[in-house]
Amino acid sequence: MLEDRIREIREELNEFEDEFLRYSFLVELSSYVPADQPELMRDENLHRGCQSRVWLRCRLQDGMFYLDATSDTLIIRGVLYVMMQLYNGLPAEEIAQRRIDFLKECGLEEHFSQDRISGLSGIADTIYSYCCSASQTRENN
Amino acid sequence: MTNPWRDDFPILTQQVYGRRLVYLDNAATSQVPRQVLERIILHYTTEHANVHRGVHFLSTASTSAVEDVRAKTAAFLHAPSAKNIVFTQGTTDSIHLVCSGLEDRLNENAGVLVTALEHHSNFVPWQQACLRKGAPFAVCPAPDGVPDLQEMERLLAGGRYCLVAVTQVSNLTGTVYPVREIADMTHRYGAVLLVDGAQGILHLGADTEQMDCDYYCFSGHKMLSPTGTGVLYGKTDALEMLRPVRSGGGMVDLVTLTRTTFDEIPQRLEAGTPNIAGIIGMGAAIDYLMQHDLEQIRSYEAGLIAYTQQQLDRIPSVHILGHPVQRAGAVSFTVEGIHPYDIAAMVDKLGYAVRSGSHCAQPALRIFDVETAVRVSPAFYNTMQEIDGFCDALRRVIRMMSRNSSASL
Repeated sequence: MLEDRIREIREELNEFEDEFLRYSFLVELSSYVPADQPELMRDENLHRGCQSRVWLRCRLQDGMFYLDATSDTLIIRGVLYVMMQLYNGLPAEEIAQRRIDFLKECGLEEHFSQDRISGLSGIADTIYSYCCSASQTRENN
Repeated sequence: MTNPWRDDFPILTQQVYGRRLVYLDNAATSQVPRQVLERIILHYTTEHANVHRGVHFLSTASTSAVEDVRAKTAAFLHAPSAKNIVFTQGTTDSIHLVCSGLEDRLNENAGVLVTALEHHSNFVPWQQACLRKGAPFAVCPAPDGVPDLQEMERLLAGGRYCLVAVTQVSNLTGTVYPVREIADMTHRYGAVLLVDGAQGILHLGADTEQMDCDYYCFSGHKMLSPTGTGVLYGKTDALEMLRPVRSGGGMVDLVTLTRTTFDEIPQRLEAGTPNIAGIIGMGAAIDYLMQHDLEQIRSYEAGLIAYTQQQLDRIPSVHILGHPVQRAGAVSFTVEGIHPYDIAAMVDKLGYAVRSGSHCAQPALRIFDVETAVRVSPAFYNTMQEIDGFCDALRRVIRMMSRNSSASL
């Protein structure tokens, strides 16, 4: 399921030959992620970077993984939407099976500067670690 | 009008994302002309050896090339002698050389005064040294990007500051500081003045005699030179005051098992092998500037920055940060309702290289009650057409972003 989703996302993003249009598409996607989420936008959920701020929270619902996230920049919000499309509703065990290189595998790596890459990869790692410990806990129970 | 200098910069001819590159991030680093690149190749192909070490032909050639640059730099800065020029790795390194070299002199009655527009490199080292020594650290306000000299004088009159550290030109607002006036005021109260010339060196040059500062620091890479090069100019007694904080090769006189005597200035402050090729490249950059009509370059740049501000001002949702009396090198702005990162990332995809972020000047941004901004910083090889193109790209991005940000609300 995860692999299918990665492939779909890569195909969709690679449709754009023009870099400006690809980014414009990310900006369009950002409109699906509400900017103002007071419940989420608390300090404990904040990932601060030099350029932008990201708030994120991982949760499980009936064994399925969900990411709640937003950012103060539209482009990053667009990327967060892509992440949610990728992960949300999948079993934590499936996400925990393999640490994916989110930006590279979704065909976004070359489009972001190094500082953004480490920030966004950090989010993917957070999700992976969360799912690893969540599935571990479920196993132990 | 064709730009008479542009063809000297090979990097500017390339395309990015299939579009013509327009480089407007010169405050971060300037580009390197062909003449500098050729000089570096010549060095590595004909004279490369370590300096001040060997008696052989290449070492002598290399040493003499580096020392020529020292003399050239002294002339470029109107310094009394080549001995007043210390080679460093850049402005930050130069400031640290002074800060560490003077730290022992700081105490509760001998602190440091900076201004709110300083780059972190001319802010944090002083703040931290003062904290370590229990010395007062004061920040002179700069409302709307203009340093409050009355407040500076009031602070100095208290007699608790032995050093004033100010920028020549703000990397955020482009504010040109009245350095001579600040030097006179600093000296009236018995303190010394350090000037951060990182942004000023290319756009204004540095007549240290006229400025009468005690220390002047700049980075080669912001003046057409390779990265990792820099200069600390100091008046002779000001350099003599500095305790050498780095020791090693090339800076000692006599070393015995129990004690060491040190070389004269400036060598005393230059431990280890310097950035030989970089320094020689910086010499070629000084040649480049001296061989051109500097007045023409500077008046062209003044026109370009004024035009940039004027054109940005015409875009309704753009707010320019600061309204200094004189501006050089940079204009920073925010756009209502749109994050600076989104602006810079989108115009980049149209070929325009500008910077967004905190610009290593968080206290300066706080003056304007913002955390980040977009900065446009043209140099003499840029054109008015490029500024027009940037403003068109910015309008396009603002239109597109506004549509989407309102959709999400």
